Amino acid sequence: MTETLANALLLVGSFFCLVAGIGVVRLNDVFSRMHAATKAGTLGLALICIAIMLLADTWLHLAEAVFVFLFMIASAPVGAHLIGRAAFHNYQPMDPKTQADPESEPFRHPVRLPDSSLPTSELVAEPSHKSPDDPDNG
Amino acid sequence: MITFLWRCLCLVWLLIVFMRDLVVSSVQVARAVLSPGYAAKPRLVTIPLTVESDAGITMVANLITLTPGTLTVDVSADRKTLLVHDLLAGDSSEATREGVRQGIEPRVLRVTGR
Repeated sequence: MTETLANALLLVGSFFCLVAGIGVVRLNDVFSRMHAATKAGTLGLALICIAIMLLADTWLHLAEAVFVFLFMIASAPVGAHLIGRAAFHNYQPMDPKTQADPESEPFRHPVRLPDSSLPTSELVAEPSHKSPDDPDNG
Repeated sequence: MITFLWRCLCLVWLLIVFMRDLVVSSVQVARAVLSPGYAAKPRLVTIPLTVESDAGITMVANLITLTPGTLTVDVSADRKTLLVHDLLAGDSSEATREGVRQGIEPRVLRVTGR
């Protein structure tokens, strides 16, 4: 019984992971792709972790699955947020159907407050050309 | 002590609602990805924040990313506004804004305090 349930969860979980993959290929721009990668990917992994918990025969295995899920929840949105932010600041191509609030434009050149603790080199926004330290993590 | 217990209870409630949201949003994304005539109407929405603490803003931003349709892109330099990408918002920002203001923010505020 437990095994059947775990098998079903594994199947549904891998389906959502597959959807996440297809979404990354199929959707139109960076932001939409991040939607697919974070949401479907996280749920897929969550279901797989629950299946592992059901099949676990020691407490260690159970704890492992819990931690895998916690780290995924903590890291997936942050990763998507940073990729989306970098894409937005670098004027990456956006789905032509995208509409935007007029207030969203100032976000491209963040004006730091004078009392900001950041070093002054980060205060200058360079909108026209690509920044030399283009994030490229291979 | 009572406030601490109350906050823990609120955190549990936050997690339960979050799991439900995660399932809904994943199904929504799956439908958008797998339907042949995919016609999303993405929109960049700015959302004024009422939470002030670092932990609060972080939680709101992460929860927005994992709940239906929305993805946090950036927070303004004065930490009062979030920039959010909504996959299915269409022509109006109001629905997205209300969803955050009445759904996610109050639940986070009850846990973090401010």
